[in-house]
Amino acid sequence: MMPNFDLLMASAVSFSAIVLSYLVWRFGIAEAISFAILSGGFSAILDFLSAFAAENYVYPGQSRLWVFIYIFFGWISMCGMSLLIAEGIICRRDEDMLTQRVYLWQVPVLAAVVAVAFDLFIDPVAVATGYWVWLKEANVYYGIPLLNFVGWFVLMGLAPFGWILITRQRSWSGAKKVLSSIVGIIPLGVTAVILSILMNSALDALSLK
Amino acid sequence: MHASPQRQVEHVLRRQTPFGQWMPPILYSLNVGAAMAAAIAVGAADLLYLALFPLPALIAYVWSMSKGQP
Repeated sequence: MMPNFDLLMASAVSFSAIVLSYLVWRFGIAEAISFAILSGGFSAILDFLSAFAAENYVYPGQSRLWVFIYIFFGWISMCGMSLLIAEGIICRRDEDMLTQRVYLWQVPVLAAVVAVAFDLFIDPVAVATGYWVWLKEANVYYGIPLLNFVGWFVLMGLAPFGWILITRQRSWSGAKKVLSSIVGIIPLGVTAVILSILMNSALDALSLK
Repeated sequence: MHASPQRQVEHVLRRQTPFGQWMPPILYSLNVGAAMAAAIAVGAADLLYLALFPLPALIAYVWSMSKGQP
């Protein structure tokens, strides 16, 4: 069976639409837009660079526009799902991820762990299916380089962290939250690059690829 | 578009509703199911055991909800 990229795109868009609808219902429109910017935009920009600047992997036969749109919606879906699962595990029923300061880091860290655990299943399946092909050397896990899981952990931790940090600001207007999300991509991006370099260097030192 | 204190309470109250509680694990399960279906469709059923990786998070979520955290 050949990979069906239309189905892949449709599923990413559908799941992200469900996640965003839920966030609109729970938190409001501005907060959902902020989440789309930080989980989709921020992560998609860095993942796009991973695909085309660093040439870590390819989606066979797909244009750069297709790849950007897919990873934009795919990250919204994955990030939202992982964040909400992490919230459900950590937060008491009469609270949520915005109500306690300690959740600012606890929930994003667990969301990153949840996302990586999820990717340990879907990445080998996607590679076997032919949806994407890794171009980097890998010697540990199904031909998938460990930098992939480092990237998932970093992005799936930082994007929720940025979103919770902004959404917690009760006195901010919706417009300010959205604008802050756009501006926030820069420090989050710098942090993501630094963390990724540090973690990948540690793996390289152990000859784990 | 200022978020009022009432609005801050609303997102907690909405989380406590059945929809608020159960939509996340249902979405999560659908994603796992979609990946399992994709694995079976391409003859990669030998990878299905990897679905064990996402399961602990789902179990922990359901356990947290069902134990009725105060």
